[in-house]
Amino acid sequence: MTAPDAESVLKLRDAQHPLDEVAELLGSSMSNEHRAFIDAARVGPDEVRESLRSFINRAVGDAPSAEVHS
Amino acid sequence: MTDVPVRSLFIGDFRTLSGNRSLPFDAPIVLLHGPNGSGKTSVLSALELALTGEIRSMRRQDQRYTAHLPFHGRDFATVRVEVSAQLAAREQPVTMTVGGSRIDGAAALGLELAQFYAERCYLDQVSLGQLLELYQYREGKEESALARFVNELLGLEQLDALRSGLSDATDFRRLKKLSEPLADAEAEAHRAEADLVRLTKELETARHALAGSREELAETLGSLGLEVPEVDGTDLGAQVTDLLRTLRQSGDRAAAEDLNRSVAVLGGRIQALSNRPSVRRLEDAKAALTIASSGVEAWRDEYEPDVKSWREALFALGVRAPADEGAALDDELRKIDQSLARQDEVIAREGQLRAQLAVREAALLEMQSDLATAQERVGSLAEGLAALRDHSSGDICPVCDRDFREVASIHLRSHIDRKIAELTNQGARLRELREKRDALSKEIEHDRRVLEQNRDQLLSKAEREAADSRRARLKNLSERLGVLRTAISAGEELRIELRDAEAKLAEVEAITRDATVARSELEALRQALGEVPPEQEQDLIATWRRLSDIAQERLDQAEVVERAYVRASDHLKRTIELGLRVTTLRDSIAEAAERKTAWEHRVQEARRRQAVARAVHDASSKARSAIVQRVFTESLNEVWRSVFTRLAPREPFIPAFGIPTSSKTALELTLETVHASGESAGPPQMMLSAGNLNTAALSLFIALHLAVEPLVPCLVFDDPVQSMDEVHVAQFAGLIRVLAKRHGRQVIVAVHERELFQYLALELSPAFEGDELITIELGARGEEGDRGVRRVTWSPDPAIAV
Repeated sequence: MTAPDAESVLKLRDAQHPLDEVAELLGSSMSNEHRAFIDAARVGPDEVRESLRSFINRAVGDAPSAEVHS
Repeated sequence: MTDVPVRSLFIGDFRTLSGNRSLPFDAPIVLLHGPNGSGKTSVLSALELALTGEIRSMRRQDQRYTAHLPFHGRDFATVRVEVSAQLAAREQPVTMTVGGSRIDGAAALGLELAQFYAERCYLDQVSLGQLLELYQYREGKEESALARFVNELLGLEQLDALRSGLSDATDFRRLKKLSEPLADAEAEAHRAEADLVRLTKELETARHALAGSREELAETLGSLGLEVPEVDGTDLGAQVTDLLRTLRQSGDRAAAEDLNRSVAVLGGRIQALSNRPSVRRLEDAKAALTIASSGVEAWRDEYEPDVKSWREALFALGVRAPADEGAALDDELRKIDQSLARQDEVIAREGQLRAQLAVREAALLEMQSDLATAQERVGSLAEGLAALRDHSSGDICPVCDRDFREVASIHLRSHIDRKIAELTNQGARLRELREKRDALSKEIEHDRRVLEQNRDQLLSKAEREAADSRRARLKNLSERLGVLRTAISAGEELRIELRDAEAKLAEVEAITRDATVARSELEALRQALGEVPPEQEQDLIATWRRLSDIAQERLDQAEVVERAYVRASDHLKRTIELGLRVTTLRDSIAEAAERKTAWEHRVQEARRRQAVARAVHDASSKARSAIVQRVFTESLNEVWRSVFTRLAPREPFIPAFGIPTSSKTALELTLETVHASGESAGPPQMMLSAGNLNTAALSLFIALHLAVEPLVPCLVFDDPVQSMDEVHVAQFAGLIRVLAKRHGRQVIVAVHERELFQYLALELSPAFEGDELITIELGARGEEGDRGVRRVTWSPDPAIAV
């Protein structure tokens, strides 16, 4: 008699956080702007949507030159 | 053993279990046995209630299940569980009382641990057979329990939050709905672009109109002999205005109109002069005046003394009639004749009146005499008869004492009365006579007044003589007038001729003066028009006509200049306006272009940011697909397969999660089977036997439990090996041991078959020091002294020890 594969269970538990995988996929192109969305996702979809709305609103509401593109 | 999650359970009058009962659970493995109806499920339900505060399987059946929890005939039931200190929500176990619709007391576990226990630790008997359906059941748009579990397990919630929150970034139209300023900015950019297009067209039109207006201005100025200066805007306006002002002064229409009007007025006067007697008749008029004067002088010498004497005599008689002296004389003569005739008539009427008065006065005297006599006689007789009547009695006369009857057939008194009546009638005639006398007296009085009046009209003798003398003198003058009348008439005619001659001469002299003035005015107009004087003297009409033609020509020229000036001014004004319009449009275009650039730049920036968000969205989608693929293929299915194949090693169809391929936010999970050959097959419900379907459910439950952090490290099964064959049971026993020993789970299992219970009790007996097993038997065995509870501890095998 053998137990369920402990390694498989550990894979589930210790898998990389999905949001980190997103960051990994974005790679070197990821900026603070990208990261802000990822951070908002930890709060919930409404936070992400609000971040997007605010992000876009600032683009058209402020002088473009005032924005920092990192 | 003190580190197991569940340590003991107290039950009082709960469902099928009457009375109070305390059950120990402080061992890694607890086996619960009893025949059907002995209370196994009641014990596990009491455990669930005490740990979580509810019994899920019952609540699914009936929301008011608490009313059925007390033992039959009891008002309430009580449960209490003791758990390890790490799990306990409070320091001391709390007894929970349940009955009716109420549950009093708190659950032993906190909310999160209670939920974990209910979902991942306890597999009740009812749920086992329905587990696969329950896991996949979805109500409306809610996720299934399985999908929810997997989402939580994979951490897809945050990933999906990222994807969901950024979904609007995948489409610009949706992004505009999300961001109103973006929609406004794009609208502003479009508006600015539209303004730019419109203004550009308007500028083109205005430029075209400006060029046309300049051409018209040049043409108009050309007609005035001027050229358009090669300047624009304000300079053009100022320079052309100066040119036009100079031009207008040179062709001043008002001055030309004044001159023309003066010429016209003078022309009227000259025309009037031409209709009057000619200047050449001046000598004739003078000659006629001389002749008339001579005639008047001759008349005066011959007739004036007599006429004058006659007029003086006439004047002396008081006749004033300078107009028609003869008529006045005749009228005066007629009046005095009429006056004398009326005197004669008055004298004649005097005689008549005197005669008539004498007759009437005589008649009056006679009438008065008669009236006096009659009046006297009638009055005394009537009075006497009346006195006599009073003294008469019978027919004897008081005067003569004779009997009246002897002479008459009537009585005396009647006779007296009749006489008195006759005398009374005579009185009436007497009154009539008096009236006639009065009337005659009035006539006489009237005649006397008329006579007096007539007498007043009579002239005295002196007056009559004076009147007769005046008439004689008037008559004499009238006779002298008969002789002088012809001479007087001739004298009048001669004087009239003289006056006419004098008037004619005065008129001709006035014409001469007017002609002189008109000529001087013509000369002044000629000089005003700047014309040279004619070589030969011309008459007034000819001169005037020549100057009139010139003045009209000047006026026509001035009007031509004036019209050209007005046209040129209009063209200039329009040219300046169009120039300003072009300038304004240029500024507006520059402003619109700047605005368009600014808004487009913002929209462009928004699009760049959209790309940023979209990149995150796409990355999250990719990550999600990768995670789902990896976890399902490499982890969940592998664990499930491992557990299932150990419980049912001979089953060729292995249950597995269908790997979701959709990238939709909601995770749609399906269950399927995979044949040992590796090919996908149908869902477990169709491909597996009832026993293996239970095994699939059981193994799935265990796999899901193992897949997550063991918040409550225990597993509770209610009769999990129904329909299992012996091989399965043996494998299950081995699995329980592994779960307890290797994975540190407390395992509580309830079974109803006696043989199976004994097999498991033997199979799961402690095999090393410190290991323990608790068996709890219900039913008749539970009524024994140890209440059916047996704690099995490890003891060394003497045979081995030897």
